[in-house]
Amino acid sequence: MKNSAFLYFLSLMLFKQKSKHIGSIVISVVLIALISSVFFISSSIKHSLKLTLKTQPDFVVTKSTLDKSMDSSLVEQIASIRGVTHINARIYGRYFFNNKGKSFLIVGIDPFEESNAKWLKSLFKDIDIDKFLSGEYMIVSSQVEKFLSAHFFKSSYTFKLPKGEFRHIKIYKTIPTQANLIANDMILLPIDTAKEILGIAEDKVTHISFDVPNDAEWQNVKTVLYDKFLNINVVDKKEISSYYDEMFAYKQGMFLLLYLISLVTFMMILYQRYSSVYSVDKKEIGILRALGWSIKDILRLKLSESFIVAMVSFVFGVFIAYVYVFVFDAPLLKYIFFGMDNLSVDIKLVPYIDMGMIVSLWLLYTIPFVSAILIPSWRVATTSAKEAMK
Amino acid sequence: MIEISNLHKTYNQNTPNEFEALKGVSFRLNDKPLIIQGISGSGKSTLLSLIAGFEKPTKGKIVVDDMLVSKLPDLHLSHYRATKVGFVFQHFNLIDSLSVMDNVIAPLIPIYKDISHIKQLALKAMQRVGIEHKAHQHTKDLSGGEKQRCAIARALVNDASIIICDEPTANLDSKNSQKFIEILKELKDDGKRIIIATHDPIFENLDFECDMLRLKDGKIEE
Repeated sequence: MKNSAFLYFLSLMLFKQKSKHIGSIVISVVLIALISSVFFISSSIKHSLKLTLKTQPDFVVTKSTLDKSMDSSLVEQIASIRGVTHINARIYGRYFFNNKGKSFLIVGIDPFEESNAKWLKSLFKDIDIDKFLSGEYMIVSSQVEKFLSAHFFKSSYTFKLPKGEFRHIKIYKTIPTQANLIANDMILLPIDTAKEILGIAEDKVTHISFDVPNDAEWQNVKTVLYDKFLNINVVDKKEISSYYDEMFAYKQGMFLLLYLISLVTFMMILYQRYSSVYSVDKKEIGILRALGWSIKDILRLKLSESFIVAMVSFVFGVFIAYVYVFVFDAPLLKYIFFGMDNLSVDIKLVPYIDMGMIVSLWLLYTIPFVSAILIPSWRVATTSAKEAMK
Repeated sequence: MIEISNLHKTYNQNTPNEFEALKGVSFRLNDKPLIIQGISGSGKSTLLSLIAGFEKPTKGKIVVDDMLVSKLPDLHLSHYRATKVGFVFQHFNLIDSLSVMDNVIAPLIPIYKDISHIKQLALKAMQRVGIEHKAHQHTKDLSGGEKQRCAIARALVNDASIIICDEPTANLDSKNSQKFIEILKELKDDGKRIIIATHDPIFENLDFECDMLRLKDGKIEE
């Protein structure tokens, strides 16, 4: 049978002390909203990066020397290694915008190569590859477009080449903001145009990417590459993934530490308040004990009371964090994760909730919160009713 | 039957503030109400709180209806307080932020599950002492007499067989004190066992038979 009597009395006690509970709820909501926002941002970024990583090649080979260019003949040599597929050469380099301390990431690609073509098609359904390949056009990120536009380059930009010549290139398309996580300051060009702008010789490339479909072969392929070629650096997808994890776990960890310090302070205040300041609470427990409530009954009441307060705070805190991060795009806080050293960041955070994180946060908050109320209540309940009523 | 034998209660035992409130009290309660008299500090309230099971004696026995109350573990002692004892405190000890009805139902929450049943019992108890018209008023807004009637309703709601009152008329005027005596008489007629600690002279000339017990310095004065 449902215990309507207990629920009725519980609601009475909650309503009666609403001003006290509202105080606890407000502080808790702020703490939970802050730490949940941090976790939401970090898990959303990690999730998006990992999804992006899935579409990226398994390996990227770069040069480890000061001169970052490699002979394009290396492409064929790597392609001849057993297990290597989808080999692709790319150009990556920084183009510095005069006097502003800002730079763009120039990426030169072969748009007919399978993975590049797939990526371009996923970004733009109506892309005309031949038009892009003409060398007259570039694809830029929304932030690059904004930056150029702010400097009076509305639909095109004139690049200054290493030898002092100029190259006028029109903006063909703008990369959707959803891709800004990896393309915030990116300018996509056909590989030859990119080489021209960055001053890379025709027979050179900066990055060689490829897939090795058999996971078990990854280490072998890496060993072969290091044995066969000098001064190269080989990075696989797993390494990039763990790099992302470390990078965001570090920032997340700093906030977690801050949260724990605030939480401990808050719980100490709560504990102190329930232990001594609120003699009314103490007297109430004494009265209930005198009326026949057992220690178990008192603890049940206080546990339910604190659990409801904790749950309301947690749900509100997480909801506010969700709205702040995924509806309003976490103004202020997201810059801690993305930084603002180059072009300003305009990234749409994709809603992603890590349930493990939610459960951990719930435990991390509820256990100390409930304990901070339950322990002093238990101490009062175990003294004699006469003593507690004084 | 309520039997008290060689009851001792010492507070702050083995500390410099050690104080012996009861020093070997023994008596047996018959059907007649018991009036315990004595000056402040004589041990009246301590004796009542021991009989009510609010605290445990340092030494001695309290037997209520063949149950050794002084040795009961907490869960059973709570059940004893909830089902057998109705206590009216000198300062009423009501939960001020709750209504009269909600104060009266408080002792029944651990016993019954159905709130509508509990409210019916509470209404009956309130009707009995004539406070039902104030059922939804907060107790902090009541007069002294009304607060006491609320406290009595709360003591009666569990149909307790023992009614214990600690200085019940100390905070009442003579009119309300007289009303309390009338309620007491009704309870006695209903077969309730009544124990009252008081130093109010009004209890010396009651029109019903009572046993008298005088305490002085924690002992029964012969």
